[in-house]
Amino acid sequence: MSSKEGRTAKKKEEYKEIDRNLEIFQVCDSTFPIGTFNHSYGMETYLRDGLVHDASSFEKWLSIYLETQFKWGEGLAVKLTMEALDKGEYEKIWQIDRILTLSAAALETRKGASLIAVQMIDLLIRLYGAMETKEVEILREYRIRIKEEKSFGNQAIAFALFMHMQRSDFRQSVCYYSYSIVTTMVQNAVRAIPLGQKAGQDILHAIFGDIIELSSEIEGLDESYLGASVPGVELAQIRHETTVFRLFMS
Amino acid sequence: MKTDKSSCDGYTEIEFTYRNGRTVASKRISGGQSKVSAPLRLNDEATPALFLITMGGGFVEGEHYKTFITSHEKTHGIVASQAPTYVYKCNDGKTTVQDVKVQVDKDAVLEYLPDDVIPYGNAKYRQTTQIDVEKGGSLFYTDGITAGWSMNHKDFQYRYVHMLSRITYGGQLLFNDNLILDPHAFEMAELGLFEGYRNYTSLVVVDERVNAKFVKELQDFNNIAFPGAIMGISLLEGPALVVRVLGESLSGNKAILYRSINWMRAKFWGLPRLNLRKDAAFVNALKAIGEA
Repeated sequence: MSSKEGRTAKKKEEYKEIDRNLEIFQVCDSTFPIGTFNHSYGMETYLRDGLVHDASSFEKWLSIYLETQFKWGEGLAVKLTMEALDKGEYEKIWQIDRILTLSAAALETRKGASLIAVQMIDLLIRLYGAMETKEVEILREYRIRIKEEKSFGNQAIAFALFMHMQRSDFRQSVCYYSYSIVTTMVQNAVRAIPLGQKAGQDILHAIFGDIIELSSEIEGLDESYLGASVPGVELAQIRHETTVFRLFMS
Repeated sequence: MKTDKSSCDGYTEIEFTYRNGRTVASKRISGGQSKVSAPLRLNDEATPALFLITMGGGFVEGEHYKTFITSHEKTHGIVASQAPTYVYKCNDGKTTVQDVKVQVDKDAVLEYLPDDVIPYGNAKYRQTTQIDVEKGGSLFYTDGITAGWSMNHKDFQYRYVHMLSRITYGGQLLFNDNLILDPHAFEMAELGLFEGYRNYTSLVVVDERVNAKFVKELQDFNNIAFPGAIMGISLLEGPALVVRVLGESLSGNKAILYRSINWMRAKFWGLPRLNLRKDAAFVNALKAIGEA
């Protein structure tokens, strides 16, 4: 080790917590290139129907989506995946992937989630593949299982694996994952509705309270809630399939 | 789920068997508050139809109902209900439960078409439906949930409804249909929930002939305006599809689904329009969309 490398290693140790946070920021950033900007999670159907048309109607849709399908779906999947990792019940992860995916009535929602997951896993392996951790090993296995059509792939599960590797707890993981989804959705809304960038930031800032509430609610949920949804959110995702003019894949 | 009659308030067990070139309802057992009708031969087809009946007209607080349906190889049977599933008020906070277990064997067709659930004010209801379809088996399954009924005639006065349907095909999970309605936590009429409508009705079809092309055909068939309702169709993860309708009236929703059911019955088996329900509201709703 050269003296320069030695200094860097020492700094890395001193800055361990900050370094870890920087790594998490990168994965949570809306520019992390995993293709989430292609998906509206059904919001575009409301846009076409004129039911989402400004900042306040978008905010309403966003908070309902978070409190229902997201909470019982990807949010709960983050918790269940981290629990499975803590207990070393690795097979459980594939079961979560299956139930979560097959809870989506809309084909586009399942396809979209799978596409995002593949890009997320590939990028995580690219960045962290050199580390010999159990989580990286599972990410590689996950990627192979998706290729062999044994699993579908979901971003929330890949994110939970990453956060577990970062020694993050469940609360941090759920809140940060929610943030990464919300920040992308706000960017999508800014582009599609359209909204001003500042209005987008207002919405993002206002939703933090919801995210914390969501995380505390997820703590009390068990597997029987996994993949639950509500009528409007679900039907909008199904109806997106036959929407003629579209900016998003789902 | 065990076939344990003693531990529940209503129990039904139905089996269809193929004998001498036709389907017979070989088992038709019920107990407690549940009854099942004698097989009814429809006017214009040989398919036997059974109707599920609840004594007293509905489920009382804390009651537990169990239904088992088995369609053996080569059979074609229909199981419907005589009336909507009324779930009466649960003022002591106890949840009313219904468990349904359905098995469809190879080359069997089951049309399981119960009416929608109508929860009363304060009702708490949990329904779990497990449907296992063997490869080569066919299923039509309708279900639905409404804004409910209450003394003050206000919508969504029930406390909590959780309806979970798990459908497998060839032993593999195909669809985990999980619906939670919590009127205490949400404004039910709002965007994302019922959006001003009062009924959410669902049809799941499992059949080897269902694929992306078939779904596109069914979507095209439904590319018309349905007054007072919005609907969508999507392919599930296997030879199966789901149709969902959010609409103003129970009969209107049902008519939209039956229009598609009739189209598929003709396409799959050359069978006539399903002639199960004769109530005026339903017949009028069919007429309104050109189906009767």
